[in-house]
Amino acid sequence: MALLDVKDLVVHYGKINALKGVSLHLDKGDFVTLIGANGAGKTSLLGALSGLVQATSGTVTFKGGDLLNEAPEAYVKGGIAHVPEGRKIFGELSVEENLYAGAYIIKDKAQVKSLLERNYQLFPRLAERRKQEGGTLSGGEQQMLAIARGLMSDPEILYLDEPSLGIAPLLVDKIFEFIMQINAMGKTILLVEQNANLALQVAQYGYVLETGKITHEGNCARLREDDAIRCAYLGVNGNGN
Amino acid sequence: MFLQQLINGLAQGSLFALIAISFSLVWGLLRMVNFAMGEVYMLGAYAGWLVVMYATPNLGVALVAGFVIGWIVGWFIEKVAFKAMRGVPHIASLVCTIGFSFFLKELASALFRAETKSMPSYYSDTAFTFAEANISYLQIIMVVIAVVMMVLLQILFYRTKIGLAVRAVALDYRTASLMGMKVDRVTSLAFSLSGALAGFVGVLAATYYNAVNASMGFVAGLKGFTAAVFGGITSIPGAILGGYLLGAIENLSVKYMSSGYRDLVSYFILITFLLFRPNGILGKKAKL
Repeated sequence: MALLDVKDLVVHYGKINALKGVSLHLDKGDFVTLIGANGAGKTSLLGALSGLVQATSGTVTFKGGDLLNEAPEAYVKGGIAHVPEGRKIFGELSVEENLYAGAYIIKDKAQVKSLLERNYQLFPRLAERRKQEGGTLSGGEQQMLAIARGLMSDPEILYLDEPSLGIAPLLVDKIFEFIMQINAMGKTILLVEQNANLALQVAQYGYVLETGKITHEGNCARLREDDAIRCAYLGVNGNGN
Repeated sequence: MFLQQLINGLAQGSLFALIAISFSLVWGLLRMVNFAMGEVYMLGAYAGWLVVMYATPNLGVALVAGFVIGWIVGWFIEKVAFKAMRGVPHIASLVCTIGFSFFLKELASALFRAETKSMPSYYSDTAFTFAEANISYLQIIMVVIAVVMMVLLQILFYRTKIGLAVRAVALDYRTASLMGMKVDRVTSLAFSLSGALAGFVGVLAATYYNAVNASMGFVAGLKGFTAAVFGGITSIPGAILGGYLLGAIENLSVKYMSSGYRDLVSYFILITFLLFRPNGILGKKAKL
């Protein structure tokens, strides 16, 4: 049984049809990526899959339960963490307070403490800066904090929306190493990326979203070889080697 | 004389500071001003007056009554003027709170009639005299209560989970909702708390001035708003500083100018700061 199963999801913004029937599924431990150009509907899709955006129709089944159009807290409580585009760190809260905010749904204080320690082990950089205001961190550090904050709810699935956006290339590699490490720890990952090249290298399975529809899907290795995708997203000429 | 006015200013400043905190709580969460705050304060004062006149002379019970009434009225204003108007331009909510301000004032004059009720004195004896300045027990109690309230709020916001949620929601409610925070509930709670604080101060003020009337909220609300703008409405410490400074300046202006200029001085400060330094003394850059 799929961990997260999405069928024929339709989303409208006023009269604009942002998603025109999207289906995808994630199994436990998967590392799945969703690529697509700006405006293809990637962020709308993640929004609809975490309760931020209301869907018009379709089904969202998580661990067998229906989550369509539930409030965001139902998704977090179910075990889905959404690391939003642009990091969205609480700039005036300290690094540690940001992390505590991420653990808001967890009642057990001991569990929160152990999650905190685990995150500090994973991201020693954040441990060094725990008292610093989130807004004073560099872009890369903020991204680490956003990911760590997502992990604080001890999710089964982690959505990552454009983690490479606006981050120095050197740090992007570092962030992606972290993401792979988190996947290796057993977390299921849904990565939304504009940087298709990178996304198709790290993930196992990929979906291509074009103006609200999934146009291609398959193993990333295969997608990388697909001429149409190479041409449109990987910046290589269709006939090139 | 200077010292006496300073002491009076400190006591009155405690009232201003607490009302200013109410404003800054709402501002922090919704980037909005509740112009009915003064009327919530007035209703709190009536609640306290009713308690001491008809139930028990215990001032503590009166303060609790003011707090509770303020909580309920604050909660109601949030539901009507803010929650029901989400998604429409800010100005609608603002005008709605002005409407509430008139409505509550008229309601109070209908219920209690227009004349001023006199509130019995409490602890008005002089506690001690220092360099010819008299300090009453009530003045000391007011400052202590204000400080205790501020410390409690500080603990609430910086040491508890719900406080963290309030701050997170104030900074970015969408992202806060992704963490499972109930944005509506947090907003409602903080709004009610700001009303409760105003209602509580209303009782304190009624006791200090020995008077309750339906129009007492107008000036108090303006002074509280002035104090918040003066110190920096974006921060609670700013609101506190603004409250005490305004109290001191007002009372000293009585010494150096005529007492008729007292309100003029306050509004001069309000207009000057709104024009030239809307972030106030301590406020960070206004984020609108």
